[in-house]
Amino acid sequence: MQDPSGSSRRPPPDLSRETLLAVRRRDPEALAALFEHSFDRLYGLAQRMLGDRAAAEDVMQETYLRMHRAAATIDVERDPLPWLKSITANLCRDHRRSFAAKVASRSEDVDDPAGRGGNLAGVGPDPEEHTLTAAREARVQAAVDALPEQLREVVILKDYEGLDHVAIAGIVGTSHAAVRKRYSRALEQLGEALKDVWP
Amino acid sequence: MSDRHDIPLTAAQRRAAEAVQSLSRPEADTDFRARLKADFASGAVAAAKPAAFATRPRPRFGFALWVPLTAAAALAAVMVFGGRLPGPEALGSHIAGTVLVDGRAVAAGDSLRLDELLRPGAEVVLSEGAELDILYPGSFVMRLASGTTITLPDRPRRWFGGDLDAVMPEGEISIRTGPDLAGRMLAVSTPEGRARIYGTLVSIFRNDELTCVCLYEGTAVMDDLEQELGPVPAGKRWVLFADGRDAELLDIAPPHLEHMEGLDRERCDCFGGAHKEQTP
Repeated sequence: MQDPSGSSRRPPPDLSRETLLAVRRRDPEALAALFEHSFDRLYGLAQRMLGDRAAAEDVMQETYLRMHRAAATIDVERDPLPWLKSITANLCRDHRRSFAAKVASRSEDVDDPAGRGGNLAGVGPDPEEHTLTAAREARVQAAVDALPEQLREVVILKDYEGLDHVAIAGIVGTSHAAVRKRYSRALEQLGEALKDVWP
Repeated sequence: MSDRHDIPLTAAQRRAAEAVQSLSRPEADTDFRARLKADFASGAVAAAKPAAFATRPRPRFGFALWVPLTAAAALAAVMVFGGRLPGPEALGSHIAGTVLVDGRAVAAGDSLRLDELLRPGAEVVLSEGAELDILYPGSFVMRLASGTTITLPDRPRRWFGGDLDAVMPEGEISIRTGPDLAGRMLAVSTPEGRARIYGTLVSIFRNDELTCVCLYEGTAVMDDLEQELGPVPAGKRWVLFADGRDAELLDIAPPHLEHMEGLDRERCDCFGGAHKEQTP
């Protein structure tokens, strides 16, 4: 699994079997622990897939609504994070296809002309380096956003989330052979778009 | 990471992959994060409506396939389900208060204006002190108590059955079904579960702590979020708790009995019947 760099990245706290059993009972402390275990990863995935903070927040609310409703059926023998990533990824796909998303993409914020929510790169100790990192990240995110949906979701799930082709195939509802093809095409298009950033 | 399905990458592809891998993990707005955490831990998130983007069905086929399929389905639907029964209509109220229909405020007694605004799928919110009866002629009549929020069901199909769905996040409704609901099912969903109503006099109550479904007579089946709990026996109520405790089957509480009897007494003429007093 890749570990994208960034000031905010920290490993999620582990969840014990006892905590997951308490999640099943919707115990508030256990739910809070599940939230801490999952939120930063899921939010990062949503914002990278959607490229927009407001849309990522919409998806997070819906993800946790569904998680709460399904809490009684959670599998206490496994880490729920892959399952939650799958919910988040599918909701991101729904959001991108929704009417609201299409309207939003045509009316970008005048204070944030890129419409990408800013603040994607955390502020580091060196302002100059931060500026360079932020500019580079903005280019990469813009190149990712410009990919067709089927290619974008595969490259984010593979290289940003570190999922393998089989897991991605399960999430996007296609064969792993198709995922491999999409991944290859996505990288080809990204390589072309970013050739002046990483010549 | 190593994946047995990994493919050999060109230098440009590898650099592109590394660029994506190097993206930082964005931080959420701290207020949003804290609010969502509190709502999730307390269960308040469960009372939220599903987001609009998440409620539409996901297309499963490519354009070339779904266009002819959609056209064929639409043609079949027009041929087979070519009409719907009437509803909803406001029967007015004797009580002061305000009703919001899709966000537009109307006095509870202004049945003409309410009739203009009520439509299948409308969200109806009653202020404190308001009470409203809504009729789907021939199919059912429902009484909404003060403080109720409900999304109204669609109009029943004229032929070949078809199920109806209402969503009630909070409040209390009583429902008396009519002859045209035969062969159909009216479902009322709350954050804790769903009552499936087949032909009955029933009340559904929901607050922050529980959902309660009382059956006066007829047939209704209760589901929680995961499974079917079973039928509601006449004179009994299923209570589903928001904190996840096991559901309980209890006797009908007097306030719910009064609400149902009030509807039945005052609206029994809607379907040509007469109210029968019951001693549960």
